[in-house]
Amino acid sequence: MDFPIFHLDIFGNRGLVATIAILHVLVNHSLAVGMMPLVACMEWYGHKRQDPRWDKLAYNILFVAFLITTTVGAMTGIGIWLSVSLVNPYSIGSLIRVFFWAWFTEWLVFVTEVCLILAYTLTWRKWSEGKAKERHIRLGFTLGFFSWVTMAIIVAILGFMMDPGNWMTEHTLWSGITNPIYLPQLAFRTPLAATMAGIVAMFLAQFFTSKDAAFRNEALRAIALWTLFFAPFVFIAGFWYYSVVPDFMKANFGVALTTLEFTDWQEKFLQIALITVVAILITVQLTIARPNLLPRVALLAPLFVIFWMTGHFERVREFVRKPYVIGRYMYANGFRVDDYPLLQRDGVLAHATYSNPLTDAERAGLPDDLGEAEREAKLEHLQMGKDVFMLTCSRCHTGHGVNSITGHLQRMFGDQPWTPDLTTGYIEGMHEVQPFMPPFPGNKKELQLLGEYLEHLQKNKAPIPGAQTAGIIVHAAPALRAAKIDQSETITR
Amino acid sequence: MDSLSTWLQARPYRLTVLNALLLTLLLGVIGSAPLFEIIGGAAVAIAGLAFLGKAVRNAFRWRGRGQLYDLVLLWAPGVVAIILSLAAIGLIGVNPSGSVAYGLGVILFGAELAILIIGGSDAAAFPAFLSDPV
Repeated sequence: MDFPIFHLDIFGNRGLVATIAILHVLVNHSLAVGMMPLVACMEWYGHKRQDPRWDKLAYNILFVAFLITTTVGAMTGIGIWLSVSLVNPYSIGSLIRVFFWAWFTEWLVFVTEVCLILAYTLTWRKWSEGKAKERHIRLGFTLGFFSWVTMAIIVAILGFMMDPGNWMTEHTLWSGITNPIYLPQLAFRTPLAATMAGIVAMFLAQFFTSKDAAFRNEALRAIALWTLFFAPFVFIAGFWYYSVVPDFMKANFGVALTTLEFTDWQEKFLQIALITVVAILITVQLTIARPNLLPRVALLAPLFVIFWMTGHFERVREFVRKPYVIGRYMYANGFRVDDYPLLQRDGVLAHATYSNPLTDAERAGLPDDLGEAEREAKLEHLQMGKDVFMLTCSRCHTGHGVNSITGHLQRMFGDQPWTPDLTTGYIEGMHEVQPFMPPFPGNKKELQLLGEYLEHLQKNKAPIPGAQTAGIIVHAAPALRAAKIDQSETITR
Repeated sequence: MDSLSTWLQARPYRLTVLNALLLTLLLGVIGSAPLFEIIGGAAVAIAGLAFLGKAVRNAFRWRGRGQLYDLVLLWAPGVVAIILSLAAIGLIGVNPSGSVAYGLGVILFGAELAILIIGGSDAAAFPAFLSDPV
C-alpha cells in the first residue's frame, strides 16, 4: 500500500469518478464518435447535391461539437485518469502494466484526433471548392474514424475490467485486449454513439434552420433516418453484450440499476427504460413522416432520455463487476485476489506505509471517565481502526456522506449500539450475503479494530478527511506497528 | 366541429388514422390479448399490404430516376412500422392486461399503425411527399 489515501467523505470517491466519467462518455459518444461521421456525411451530401444549406448546417453542428469536445470532452477525458489514479491507484497501476502499449497508441490516436478536428473545423471555409472540398470531406471521415479508434481501444480496457478472460493465465497484452466482453461492448457502443449523435443533431438542426423553410424538414428527415438506421443495432448488440456478462455480475443488476435501498425498483426501472426506448422510436419515426409537425420541445424528450439512459448504463457497467474492480483479479478495495491469504494472515496494517491522522473533531466522543493512558490507548486503537477503514472500505464508502458505511449500519442495526461484536459478525460474512461486497481483507485483530472504529462513528458524525486535507503519517516500519496491536489489546475497553 | 371535419377531409388518410387509433383504444380497453393479436394483426396486415403495394409500384415507376436516399425514405418508415407494430403485438401477447408493458404495447401499436397508414399514403404520393409532408 504505497500511496496515501485520497478521500471525499461527503460526495464519495465513486461520485467523483462517476460524474467525470459519465460526462465524458456523453460528450465523447454523442459529439465525437457518432457526430463526426454524421457531419462528414452531411457535408458530403451537400457537396453532392451542390446545396450550400447542408454545408452550412453541417458546419454549425460541427462548431458546437468542436467547442464542447475540445473543452469539456478533453478535460473530462484527462479528468477520468486523474480521478481514478487518486481514488484507486492500484487498479489503474495494474491496467497500465497490462495495457501500456494500447494506452500509448490511444494517446497517439487521441492527439491525431485533436489535430484532425482542429484542421477539419478551421479549414472548412478555406477548402470549400472542387478538389479541396473533396479533400475536406475525406478529412471529416478520417476524423470520424480516429474518434472511433480511440473508443475502440478504451473499450478493450473497460471490457477487461469486467472479465479479463484468458489474460488470467496468459498475461499478454493480446489476451487482455481480446477479452470476452470487448467485441460485444464495442458493437454496442458504436451504434449507440451514432444514435445519440442523430438525436443531438436533430435537436441542433432546429436551431440552425428557420422554422418555415422546407430545408428544415429535409434535414430533420435525413438525420432521423440516420438515427433510425442505427437504433436496431443498439438493441441487437445490446443483447449480445448482455449475453457475455458473467452470471455472477448479472446477480448484481438489481442493485446496479438503482441502489441497495431501491432494489425492488428493478422492474420499474426496466419499464421506464422500455418507455423511453419506445418514446425515442416514435419521435424519430414521426420526424421522418411529418418533420413539419414536430415542435422543438418534442426533441427535448429523446435528447434527455438517451443521455439519461447512457449515463445510467455507465453506472450499471461500473457496478455489476463488483466485488471486483478488475474481474477475478482485483477487488474494488484495491487488493489483489491473490494477496488475500497474505493480508488475512499478516493484516493490512502490516503493509500500510501511510495513515490518515485523526482530526480533533474525529477524536471527540470518547468516554469522559478514561484515564490518560487509557485515553491514549483508545485513540491509538481508533487511529488503527480508521486506517483499516480507509484501506479496506473507503474506496467505495464514505463515513457519513453518499453510500456511507454509517448509513448502511443504521439501516441494518438501527439505533442500538453498534458494538464490535455486532458489526464484525456481519462484516466477516458480508460477501456471502451481499455478493457485490469483497471479503474483508484484514486479519481478526483488524476486524476488531474496524468494529471499534464503527462504534465510534455512531457517536461521532465528523467528516473523515482524506490525505489531501488531513495530511499523512508515514510509518517507516508498518509491520512493527501492526505487532503493537497485541500489546495494546489489554489496556483498551 | 366543422374545422375538424374540414381538416380530416383534407387528406384521406387522416380519417383512416383516426379509425385505427379508435380501434386500438377499443382493443386496449377490452384487454383480450388473443383478440388483439387477431384483430390487430389483421389491421397491420391490411395496412402493411396497402403500403407495400404502393411502395413497390412507385419504386418500379421511379426506377433509375430517384436517388437511393429517396428510395430509403420511401421504404423505411413503412417497413419499420410493420416490424414495430408486430413487436407491439408481441408485447401485448406476453404481458397481462393492465400491466405497464401491456399499456406500452397498446400505445406503440397505435402509433405504429398510424405511421404505417401515413407511410402508405406517402408511398402513393412518392416522391411529392418529400417536399410536401402534411
